[in-house]
Amino acid sequence: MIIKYAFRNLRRLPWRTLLYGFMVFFIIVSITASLFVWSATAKAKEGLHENYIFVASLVKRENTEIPLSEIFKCLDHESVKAFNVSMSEAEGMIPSGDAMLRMPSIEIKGEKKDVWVDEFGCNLLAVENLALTYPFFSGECTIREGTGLTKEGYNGLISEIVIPWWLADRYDIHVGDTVNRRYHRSTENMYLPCTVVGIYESRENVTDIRSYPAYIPLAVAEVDYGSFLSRMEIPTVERADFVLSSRDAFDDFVAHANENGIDFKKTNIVFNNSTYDVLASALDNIHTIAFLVFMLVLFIGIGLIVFVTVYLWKSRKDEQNLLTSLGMKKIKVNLMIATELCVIVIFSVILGFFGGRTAADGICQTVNDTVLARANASEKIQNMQSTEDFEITMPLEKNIKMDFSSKGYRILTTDVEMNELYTLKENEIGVSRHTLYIMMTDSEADIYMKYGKVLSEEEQKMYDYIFYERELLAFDVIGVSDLSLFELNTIREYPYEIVGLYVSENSPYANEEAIYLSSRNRNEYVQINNTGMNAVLAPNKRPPAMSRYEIVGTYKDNEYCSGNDILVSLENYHKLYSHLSVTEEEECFKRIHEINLKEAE
Amino acid sequence: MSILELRGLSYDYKTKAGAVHALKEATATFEKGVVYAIVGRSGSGKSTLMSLMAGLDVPKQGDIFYQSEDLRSFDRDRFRREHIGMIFQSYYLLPQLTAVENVELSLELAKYRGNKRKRAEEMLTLVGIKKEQFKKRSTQFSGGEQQRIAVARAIATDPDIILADEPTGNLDNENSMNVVKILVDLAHQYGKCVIIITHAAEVAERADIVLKMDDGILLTKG
Repeated sequence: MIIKYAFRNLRRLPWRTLLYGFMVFFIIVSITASLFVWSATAKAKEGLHENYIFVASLVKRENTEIPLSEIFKCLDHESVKAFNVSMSEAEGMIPSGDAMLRMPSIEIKGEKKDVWVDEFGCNLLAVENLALTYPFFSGECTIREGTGLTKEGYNGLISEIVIPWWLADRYDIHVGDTVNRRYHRSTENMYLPCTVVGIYESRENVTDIRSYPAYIPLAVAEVDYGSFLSRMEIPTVERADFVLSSRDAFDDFVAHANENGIDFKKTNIVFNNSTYDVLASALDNIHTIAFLVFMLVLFIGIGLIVFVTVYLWKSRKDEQNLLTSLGMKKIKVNLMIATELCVIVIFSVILGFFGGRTAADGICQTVNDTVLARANASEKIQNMQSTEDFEITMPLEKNIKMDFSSKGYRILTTDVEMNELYTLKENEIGVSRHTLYIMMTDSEADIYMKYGKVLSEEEQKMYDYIFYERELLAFDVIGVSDLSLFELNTIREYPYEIVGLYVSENSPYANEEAIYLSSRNRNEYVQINNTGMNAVLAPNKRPPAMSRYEIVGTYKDNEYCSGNDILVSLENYHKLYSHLSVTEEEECFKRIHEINLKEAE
Repeated sequence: MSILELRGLSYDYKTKAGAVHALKEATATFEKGVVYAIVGRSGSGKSTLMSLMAGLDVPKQGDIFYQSEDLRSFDRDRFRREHIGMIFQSYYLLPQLTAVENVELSLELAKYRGNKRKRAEEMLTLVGIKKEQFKKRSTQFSGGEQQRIAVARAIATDPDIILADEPTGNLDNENSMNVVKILVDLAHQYGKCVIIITHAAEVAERADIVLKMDDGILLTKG
């Protein structure tokens, strides 16, 4: 009966009740709309923060240089997610073209193979992060086949290359093929095999195809082009781009860079935060307004609903009295009125919720079309000058467009899949490992010098022992950021210019003055036939290149280093790998990600 | 045999100013077929007396007997539904309902077993409402008509007792007399016990017995 009477009354809603329903509806619309806009702006800002690529670029000023080692020091800042430096290897190239040179034939499994090289070639650029190079993040170049350089490639575990479309088309090279890089080392050419992981193409109307190089990982280049880099006193770069985790990290990053020797008299720093700031500020404003409206409507609205409900209830006192006098129980009368009000409130709330959501989308759309569109087209962004310093990161700013609704947000930005770094954290020490080979000690070097000219059979055996059997004894050279974290002893004074090493106190070299280190040095040649390029490796049995390094101290073994490990300061480590080594999959350069935890005290 | 008997009825309530003795040991007997008028100045306890007789409230002292049975033994809501018809000065018609629906409402609440619509229409006809007006909303009627609809609603369930609280208070003289005539007819022709609370002397004059309330004391006037 209660329900029946309640619904009969609802069918003939008096205007007061109808107004009450409208009031509840509009309050709920306002609350829902402001809440959805508030939530949508929060999510949109979060999305902007997650999707925005914050790049701090260190750019050298005119007539100055940025040492590579200083760039590396900036990497251990906790906010650095990824970075890129590009170094062109002037003498490195991929042989190609018509003018082939015949190389000495080689024999594989008893079969003679012709080996050709070509004077016409494709330039090489070593990059730390392909996606962060201008042609790729600006959208000018895209990967046509395969992928970009992989994580393994960036870490130096695999010798990879991404080649331009014109080279691939010219020699019918496909992803998975092996090509050989050539560079000039000392007095001879080195030919180093690498796997093609990707082929890119340009969207531009290209006139000078030669300006599109092949890309190799910097980690591999640092090792392979050691001799090239070592000819410079300190390897330098023109710019380095650091991807930071957040907008707020910039100031701290600059301070960190400053503390680590970046001289801002010689270096400009550019941060691509303008678009973010403009969009975030617009979103912040809307967010705040939506919150204020929400709170205002919530308090006033709820107060109003309570007041009007009580008023409506009291205004039906006569009806309550009548129904009571007609014999209806008071509780039933109250339930009937409560049911009526509940139905109206529920109906209004449901309609209000959907109405609010629709209104929120309308508000979001209006904000997209006005505030955010204006923000995108703001003077601040549009007036960004295409300066030499800035133009490399500018596409990352200018190409950002966003809109949002109550269902989510959409951010149109350059799709950059970065190779993220594992940087050092507090209480972590190790930086990287590089397997080298101890060739001899000073006393063994004396034997080499003595018998270097004419060797007897016995002397020849000694020679073979030194250079070929001992060669197999691999040692891990560990570059560390802070040697004081290790227990060192018997430290000798040594000139800063030389590379000083620490060996285990249990090592047979603990009492030596110096040791000669080398990587395995293998020349490799490329065979080019009519259908493309195929790698044929040809080990060249000659004494490997080696260099003398001072042993300046010993360390006590611990769980992170012992026996065959050689400790070296990070600065010396860079010097060391620039002097030695050639990439091979089994003895590759391992990058910063390999972290050795500090021993617990 | 009396249909309603009051014995030593007292009622008081508290206000900020102190206790108010609205009714002091009121004793009276009401019989079928008689029109009673209860007169008295405002605040003399007339309405209190009426709400006690209707079972809307419970006396602090004294007893009420309906057909010699103590009212306490009744379900008071049911008692009102089945035995009491009430008429108010302000009619108290539900504005969202039509004339016939207002009358039907009391039948529905009393769980009337016959044809409710037919009975409601009969009652409206009895009080002089024309058939074409049955489906008009109650707010579309004049004051006199509304009160007649209220009378129809009060008698629809065929109650023994009709309690009318200032039924002519909002009506002009002509309408007042029409309504009073209906009430008198209900007592004299249909054997109802009609109890009218009124200020109006001309209404009281039409009653068979007049009771006077003075400061909570019920006096028989004649």
